[in-house]
Amino acid sequence: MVPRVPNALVPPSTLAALRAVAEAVFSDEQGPPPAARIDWVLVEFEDFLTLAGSRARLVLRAALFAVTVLAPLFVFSLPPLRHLSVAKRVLALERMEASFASAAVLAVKAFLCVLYYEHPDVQREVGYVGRGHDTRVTP
Amino acid sequence: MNPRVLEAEALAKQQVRDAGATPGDLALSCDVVVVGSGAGGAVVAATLAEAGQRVIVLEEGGYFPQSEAGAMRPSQQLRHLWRDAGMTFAIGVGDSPVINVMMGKCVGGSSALTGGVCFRTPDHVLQTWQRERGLSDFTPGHLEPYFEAVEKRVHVETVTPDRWSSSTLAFARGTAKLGHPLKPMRRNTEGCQGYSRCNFTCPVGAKLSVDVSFLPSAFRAGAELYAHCMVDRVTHRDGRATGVVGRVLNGPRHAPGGRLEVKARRVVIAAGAYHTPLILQASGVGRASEQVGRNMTLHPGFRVMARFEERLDGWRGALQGAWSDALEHERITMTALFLPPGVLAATLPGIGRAHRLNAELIPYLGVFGGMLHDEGGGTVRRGPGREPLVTYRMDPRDKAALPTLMRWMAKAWFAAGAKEVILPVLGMAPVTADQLDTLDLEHVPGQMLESSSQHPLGTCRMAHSAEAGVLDSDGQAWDLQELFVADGSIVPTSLGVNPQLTIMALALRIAERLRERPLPE
Repeated sequence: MVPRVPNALVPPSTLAALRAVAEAVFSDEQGPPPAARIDWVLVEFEDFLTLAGSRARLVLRAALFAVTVLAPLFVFSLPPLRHLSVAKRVLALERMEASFASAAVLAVKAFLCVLYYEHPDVQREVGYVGRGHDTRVTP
Repeated sequence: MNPRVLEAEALAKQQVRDAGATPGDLALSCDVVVVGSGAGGAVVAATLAEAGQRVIVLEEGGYFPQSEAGAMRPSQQLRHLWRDAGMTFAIGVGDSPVINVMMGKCVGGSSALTGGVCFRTPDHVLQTWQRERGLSDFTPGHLEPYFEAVEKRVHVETVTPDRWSSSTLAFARGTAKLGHPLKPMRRNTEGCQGYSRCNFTCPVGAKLSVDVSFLPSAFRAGAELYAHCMVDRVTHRDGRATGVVGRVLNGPRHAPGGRLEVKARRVVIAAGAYHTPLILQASGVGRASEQVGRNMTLHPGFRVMARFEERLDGWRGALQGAWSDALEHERITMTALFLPPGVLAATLPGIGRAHRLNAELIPYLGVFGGMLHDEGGGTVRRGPGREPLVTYRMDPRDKAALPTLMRWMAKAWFAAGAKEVILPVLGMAPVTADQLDTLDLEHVPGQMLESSSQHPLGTCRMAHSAEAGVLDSDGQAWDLQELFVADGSIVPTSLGVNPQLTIMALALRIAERLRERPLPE
């Protein structure tokens, strides 16, 4: 397993914004997924962003900023997105996904999905048998 | 694990050095410096080292043994082995999509991250090179020995239908009903066990990418490889290349650190179609032609997915086992593929409950891809920071072919029994067979298309004159002696098929000519 790189590049506000999107994207009738899974995604996100290079950091942060600021406007609310209820966040992101600004939602969602669906519990739920690769959580 | 992989790793332990692990400057000298260790650079390095020349290979990325990389999760691979963590884009200009261009940044380059697909350059493409670029040597007969040699070295074999994934078999049922049976793919594999994650390093080392096939030969012959070395420009004197300079990438985040200088009697750049033009531009090469960084083709790719009632588990079987030329008259090639669940989920529409319902369908999804034999329209420029700014204006003729691509592939899926099809249009809900006929696909804005590419080509193309191209037919820069290029950037036009075999064959041709050419004093 590749060791994690100590990181000081991801401010808490970025993590909070990403958590708000993740809770909405992966929610269902019962609400957001277990907090531990989102925590896991955020840990992976920090590691990812640290190693990804400045261009990737810029793209992700710009997309996340756009989603945080623009999505609430689609439900006639004020930003940031994290101040809305999960149900309202879902509606805001759905509308933004179908709009001219879909690329920003897609970028953040794509990034979240790549990480979230690697969680062993999620893979079991989806029924994916991830043969041949390490499913351990990055320490 | 494939014994060839283990042998390659043992050789790499002796010959690969992580330049970034030690702070400070790095100064080296050799006969030939090769910049880049992918499909082009590795072939050149092996050929020249075996001929007794002192070869140094410089690689911007790190070295990850296959036994280690094959155990990584896809997202770990993205952050460690892929350029920009997989977030490299060509920005769409005009009625064009933003295209995600995937490239490797590791020892072995993109070759380590391909699906292993091996096509020879189609004859009609070679005819175009002869007719439009004046490259009269490039006949099928002339290139035959180079293709043969490369195919033997990387073990190109045919994927028999018994190894096709259930996703591929389903699409095959559909295309057969449309009167166009799929064709078995040729790939550089040995002992494939159908893990369906070739793009994220084979966990049993079945893919014989250049880090397993060509680089070990180079190492055995004494070549050295320095990882985490970023080349900025070529040094030259009196119209002749004399080496390269750049930075060593130090520390855990690989930030530019110590100065890198390699003095060499000959320079071969093989940094790929995005970065080779940057190095040439910074070196003042190709100014007369104004062709450096232009003419980029991408083979824009589009996934068409289908939902079945029965479980397919499309991740079982060879990743890219088959292909189809049924739409060749529209300049479209279709190839099998599959994606990890996270990537698949990312392409499915919906947020919250809608997303979850779609994600639960992943085991029921079939995936097939179509790519355009494009006219080009891409440009690579120096951008802020270390990465280029790349734009792509899709030719209207290419854009006009997309409705045919989507409809034909959707019809094949429906003929195979699919209930719904997911087209590569952002925000579009899955469609049924009845809905397909009513869709106005001709007027989907380019910006709403979801596209990816693995084949950037042509940004330093070969041509018969300095006005028409950057390099002569031997890969040498028209305006700087002893500077050669051997990667996807030299390919004169779009190929319409996966390019790794073409790149390797062209690199071998260049290397064999260099081998016969005396090194300058």
